[in-house]
Amino acid sequence: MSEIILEMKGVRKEFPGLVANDNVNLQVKKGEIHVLLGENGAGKSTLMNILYGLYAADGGEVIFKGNVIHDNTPKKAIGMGVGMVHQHFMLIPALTVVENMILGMQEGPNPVINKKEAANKILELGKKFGLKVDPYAKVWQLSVGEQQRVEILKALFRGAELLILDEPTAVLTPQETQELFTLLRGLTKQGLTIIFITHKLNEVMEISDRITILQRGKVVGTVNTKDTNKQDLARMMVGRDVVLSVDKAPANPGAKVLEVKDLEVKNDKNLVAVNKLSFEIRAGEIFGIAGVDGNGQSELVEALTGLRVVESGEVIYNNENVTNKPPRYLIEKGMAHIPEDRHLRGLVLNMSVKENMVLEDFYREPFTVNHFMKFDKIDAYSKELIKEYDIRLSSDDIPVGNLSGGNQQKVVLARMLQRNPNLLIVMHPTRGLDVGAIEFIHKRIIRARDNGSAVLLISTELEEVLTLSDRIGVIYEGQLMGIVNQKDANTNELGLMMAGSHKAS
Amino acid sequence: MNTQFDYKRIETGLSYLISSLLSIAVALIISSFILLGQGKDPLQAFSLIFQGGIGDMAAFGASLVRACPLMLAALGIAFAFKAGIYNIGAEGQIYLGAMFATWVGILPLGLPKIIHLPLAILTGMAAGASWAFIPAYLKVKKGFNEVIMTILLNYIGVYFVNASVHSYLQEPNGYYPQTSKVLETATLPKLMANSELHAGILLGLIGAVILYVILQKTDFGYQLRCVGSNPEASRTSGMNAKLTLIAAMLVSGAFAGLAGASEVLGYQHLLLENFSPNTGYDAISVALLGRLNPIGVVIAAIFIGVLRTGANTMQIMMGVPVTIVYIIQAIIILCVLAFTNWKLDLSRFFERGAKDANSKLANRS
Repeated sequence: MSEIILEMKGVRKEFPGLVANDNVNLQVKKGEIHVLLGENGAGKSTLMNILYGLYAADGGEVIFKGNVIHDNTPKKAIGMGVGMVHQHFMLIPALTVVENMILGMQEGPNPVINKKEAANKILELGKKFGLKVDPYAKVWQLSVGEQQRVEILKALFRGAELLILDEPTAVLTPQETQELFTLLRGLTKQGLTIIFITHKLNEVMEISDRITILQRGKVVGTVNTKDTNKQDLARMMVGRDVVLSVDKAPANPGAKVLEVKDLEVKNDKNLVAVNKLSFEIRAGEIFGIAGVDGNGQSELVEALTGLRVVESGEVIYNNENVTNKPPRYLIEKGMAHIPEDRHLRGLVLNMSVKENMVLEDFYREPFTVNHFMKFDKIDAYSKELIKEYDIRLSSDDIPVGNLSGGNQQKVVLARMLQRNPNLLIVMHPTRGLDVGAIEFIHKRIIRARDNGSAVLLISTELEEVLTLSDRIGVIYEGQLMGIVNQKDANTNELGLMMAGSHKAS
Repeated sequence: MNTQFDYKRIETGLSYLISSLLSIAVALIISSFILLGQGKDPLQAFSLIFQGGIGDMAAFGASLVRACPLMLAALGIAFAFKAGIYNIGAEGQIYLGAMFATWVGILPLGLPKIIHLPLAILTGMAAGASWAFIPAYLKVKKGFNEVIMTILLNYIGVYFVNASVHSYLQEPNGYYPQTSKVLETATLPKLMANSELHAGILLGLIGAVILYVILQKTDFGYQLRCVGSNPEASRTSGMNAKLTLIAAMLVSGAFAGLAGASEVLGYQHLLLENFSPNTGYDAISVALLGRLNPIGVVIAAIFIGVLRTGANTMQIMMGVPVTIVYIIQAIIILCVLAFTNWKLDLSRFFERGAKDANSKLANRS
């Protein structure tokens, strides 16, 4: 049981502008279920893709079954006994199970495919591991859970001893998840080792033997599941070394600006992401929503800003029911939105800084008169914002994509705050930024509050929510677990709520 | 920042010019080998292309006649591409535009030219726009892929028009699959005495200027560029991305329809079966060669027109197959695509100069 099957030492992987893995050490014992825990973007998948040979590491070494692996490729990894089940299945729907199994495998010089032999092997493996799959079923006819089983079987078919599952439960119903867990336990009894990538704390406690927590590309620690609890794990996932402090006067809440009543929103997979959620925000206060990534935060923001359909419930904004109103309607009413992903939603990267400054207001005077844009006005406005928000650039004619992340975020921030919004919705405002930019952005958000804006702050960084917010709600699986005032908040209680316990009242 | 010399703009323009010339040069070199392989003198071939395409006014006029439908259709294609919707359907839109323009053109309405001609042109444009509306609507409402939709609609459009000249649009008592001649009141005026050059080219030039102004100076153009570059960010900032796509596609189809209309009303004067094969596809190359910029498209279309007309001369004089020109054209486009990312870095040149000067100063003190 204590034999080490896999060791990754000092693994480093950089992408342009981002260190995805920074000196990562990981030890996995034979026969265990080892969970890699961390938020989206913590570097879990990158690490596993390095192990599987999809990425080449920039540094460090991988030792599998006592051998150091050089120049890894997926083919090599499979040959050694590493199997990976990706989050998005790599199956061809039009083919049968057995055809999918033998895809890409060529044994010997015989060009004729022996499907029957393969099918028998599948049935045999299925019997051994308790995986019932019809080898001749077409993949598109199978349910998602069955497709996943096919993926697992495919890995076993190719002789996997170490099985990597990348967020396997993201697509499963609770029942299917239980079936998967039973299966995984069975597999480890047969001597297989499993690495399980997830950010769902409940599952971690249920299935794992040991847990390695990653945060921003670094290992926070490895713990035995029996020695830990959800609350500690939540803290380790989102905790932050730097303690931020911002000077902030007590809030002076005014009239109710936003009221959300029993909001229900579905995600792209058509599952309920926001579940009967209610809260309200007043002018002059910051309401923070903390929680582990993927608990409905994105869907909530998209629903509030008119980007996603509200299934049921109401959004009342300045005493007006604005449920399912289009974005421009809300923007014209004074709502501003700093989106979670500035590249996807906040900026048009290949257009100039200047042009990006008027994305919301380009069609209005003074920027446009009789459909003709007044570039001198835009230029002056842009220069003013660049000065006011201390955006560092060589020229405002260059594409905004050429700026650093912090300056890009300042462009978005400047655009939004300059409109004097009466509601500012901010999501992950400082993700990926350096400390200087973080401080600047925090100050500006507080200044907006002091100027009378109602602010909704959604962040997975607990520290950020704690420092900025006046009231804090914790979201878990689309529901608010409770709302606390900042002065009463403590990390322990919030950690518990982030792990799915209701607020103790 | 104020003292900084604004070389960025010059740099962009220069690097476009240089990379275009470079790609043409590389293409000519590659083509030379092909010509040599055929036992022909490449220099003679190129000089014949030049003479035949642009050697005198008559030759240039003929080149412009060829360039005209390419220019108009490519302007529309470039406009749609800018909005991020890939209109591969100019071919069908050209045919539909030509058919409806012809239909109005042969109707004995008894109207004066000042009404009849614009009516025919506008009907052609409306037909092209309507044909383009189908894929645009299906993309926006149902998420269909516009590339596949437009390609399939090309077949329907082309064969529909071809069928019509065999049936209800066929000239009365006629034997050939063609319509009657368009009435004089619906023809585009000629521009030169001993050339087929017609006013369609002016429509192309005016259209290019209008599209350029729309794209660069108006709020609609700004929105279109935003949607084309990042539809999600556009939607988040309150723009109606779907409507923008439909509008871009309508304009695109209208220009393709105009290309068909001007070809019939200005040059051919009656509608034949397969009256303009592959123009809609060639126009895609022209749009790309012109880097989706209306002014660039005008230059590219004239260039291709000269090349094609000159190629005919070359074929007659040297017996070189005209297909060689299609090869040259394809090579040029590949070279343009290859050189697109190649940028002139004037800033480095200037900054190095500045740095040297600074270090000299530093050494002195």
